[in-house]
Amino acid sequence: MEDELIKIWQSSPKVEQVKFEKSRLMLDLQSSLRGLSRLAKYGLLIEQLAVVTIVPVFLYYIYWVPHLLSKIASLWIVAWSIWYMFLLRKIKRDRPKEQDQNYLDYLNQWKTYLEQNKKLTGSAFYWYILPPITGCILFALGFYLGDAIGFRRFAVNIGIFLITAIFTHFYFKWIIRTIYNPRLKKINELIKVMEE
Amino acid sequence: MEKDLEDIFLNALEEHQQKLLRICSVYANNSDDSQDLFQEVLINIWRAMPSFKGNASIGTWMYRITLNVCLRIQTREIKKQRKILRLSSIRVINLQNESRDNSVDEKLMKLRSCIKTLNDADKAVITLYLEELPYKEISNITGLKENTVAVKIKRVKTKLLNRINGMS
Repeated sequence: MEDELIKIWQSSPKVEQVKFEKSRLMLDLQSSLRGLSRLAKYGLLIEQLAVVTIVPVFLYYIYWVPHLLSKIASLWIVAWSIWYMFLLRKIKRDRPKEQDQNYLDYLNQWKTYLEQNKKLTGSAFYWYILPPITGCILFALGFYLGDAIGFRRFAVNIGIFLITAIFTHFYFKWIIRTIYNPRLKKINELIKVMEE
Repeated sequence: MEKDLEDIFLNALEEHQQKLLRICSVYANNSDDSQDLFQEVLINIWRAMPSFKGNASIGTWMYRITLNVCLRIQTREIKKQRKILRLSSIRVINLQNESRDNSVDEKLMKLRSCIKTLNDADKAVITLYLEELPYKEISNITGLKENTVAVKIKRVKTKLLNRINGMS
């Protein structure tokens, strides 16, 4: 009966068969790979582009704005942006790439990667929200104290910064709940059944 | 160099295509899904080809990638990739209507649906066993100890036989 199981399993060519043209397959594969690498590149590019735009703008502000507090805030935002760019590169670099490891090692590698990212996302308030928002508030405060803008405009700016910060904070909480937690749960279950 | 890789890949594909498709079939919901998954497996194998060192047989190496791709499907890691991957040059032809022996289809479908109900570890181990891979090779692919593989296979075989007999 055990041999019967193997025989049934291997009878699949009677039910379904793979057909492919060698020359076209290679062209198809190359084009799919190009599509994939574009997808990966664009994802990173959009994040980096935002940072790359911020740096020269605030570098110019250091030179251009007359108020000392705004100059300090600009420098702070530039420093944070550069640090954040390096962090983005590190996250990308740490992503598991080797697919030809054994199943269990691959699961463990994904688990570590997801746990690290979950931790990072969980603490995003301190490194992703607080530093740039503080910079923006100080930047606007410099203008207000230097009488370049009135209280009403200053208050509107602060309101926008705070709403953005609150929205981003809850967005990250949502990411953890809907992306990281279910994936980690699934991977932990897989590891558990593998080791049972 | 590229040409050598192409030759190795195409030869290995010709030899192992049916086996890889069978593995995909138990991780997919239906035959369309199985074809999509098979295509994703091929793309990932081709992408990893430059890293193939020949330490393991190419078949073992392909099985590893296949299982890992099936795993990533489960954890939705390659949901985005799915939208842009389409290999029109490769098709899975369904011969069910032309098959002369309907009992073969029926038994195979029964076996597959039983395997689909297993947990992922048992699914991985039993599919490799049914491909007649030695315990040592299954252990290399899954990362489990040979003893654990043997115990799992024994347990799953009994479970499968009971279920199939229960269904008939």
